[in-house]
Amino acid sequence: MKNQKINATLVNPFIKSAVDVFKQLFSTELTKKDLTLKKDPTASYEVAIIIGISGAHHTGVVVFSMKKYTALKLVGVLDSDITEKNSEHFSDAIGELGNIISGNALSEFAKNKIEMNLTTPTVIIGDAFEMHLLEQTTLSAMMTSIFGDIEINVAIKEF
Amino acid sequence: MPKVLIVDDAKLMRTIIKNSLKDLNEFTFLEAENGNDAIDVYKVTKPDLVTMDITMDFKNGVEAATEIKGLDPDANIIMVTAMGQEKMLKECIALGVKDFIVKPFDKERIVAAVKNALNL
Repeated sequence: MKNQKINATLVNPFIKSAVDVFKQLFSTELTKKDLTLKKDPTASYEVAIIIGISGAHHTGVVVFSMKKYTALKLVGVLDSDITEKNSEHFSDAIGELGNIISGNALSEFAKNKIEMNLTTPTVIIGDAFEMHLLEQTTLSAMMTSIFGDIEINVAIKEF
Repeated sequence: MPKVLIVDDAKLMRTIIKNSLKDLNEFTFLEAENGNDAIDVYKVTKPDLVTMDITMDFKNGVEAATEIKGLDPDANIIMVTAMGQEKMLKECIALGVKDFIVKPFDKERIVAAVKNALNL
């Protein structure tokens, strides 16, 4: 595995933020099932939200992924008019969820004087897509909720 | 009827903000998806209030708010963003924005901010 260096504390703000956002937006618990090391941040499920991270001493990507069923349930809570058929609004809404979780995570980093910025989310939906992201040691948190599992892959490099 | 320009690249957030405000007053809602469009719409419509996201393509919300304040120092702007870092908050306060709301927000939070900004 290339680029083995990764700071385990870099994943915690994303987990905390996801838990907090689920509580506030969906009034439900999101709990951590598992934390593993992967060779890259490639998504495990068919809906992937990819957000770039950059800062004075950090660069990388965060990839959230979930089953389409889970994504539809989540965005349906936020706006009942969103369905799979209006796919543009669906991807826009699920991307915004990734943006909110990541933005709140960056606020957690900032409390420790680590300033980082986000790119706008890129959303990929489909059960046949093949994703190739740069090989970068990734901390992968598998989270679970009543809506289904959410995978959070954090591949942030310090330099 | 006050005009409110909602600037956010996510339609979902524009809808949530509109729905949050619909019981407060009668508003004319205008929308923009990025900072460039926000400036163009502002120049033409001179809205009473702008709600401004920060992370957007083409021109971000801080850049757009800075340009709008340059055009109209009295512009009423509320930042509504997922990025709640202290540094960014200070930057926006220095710019003279009326409020800084961190997503996700409760309906009551944005209603209070809009009431305050428009003296409703």
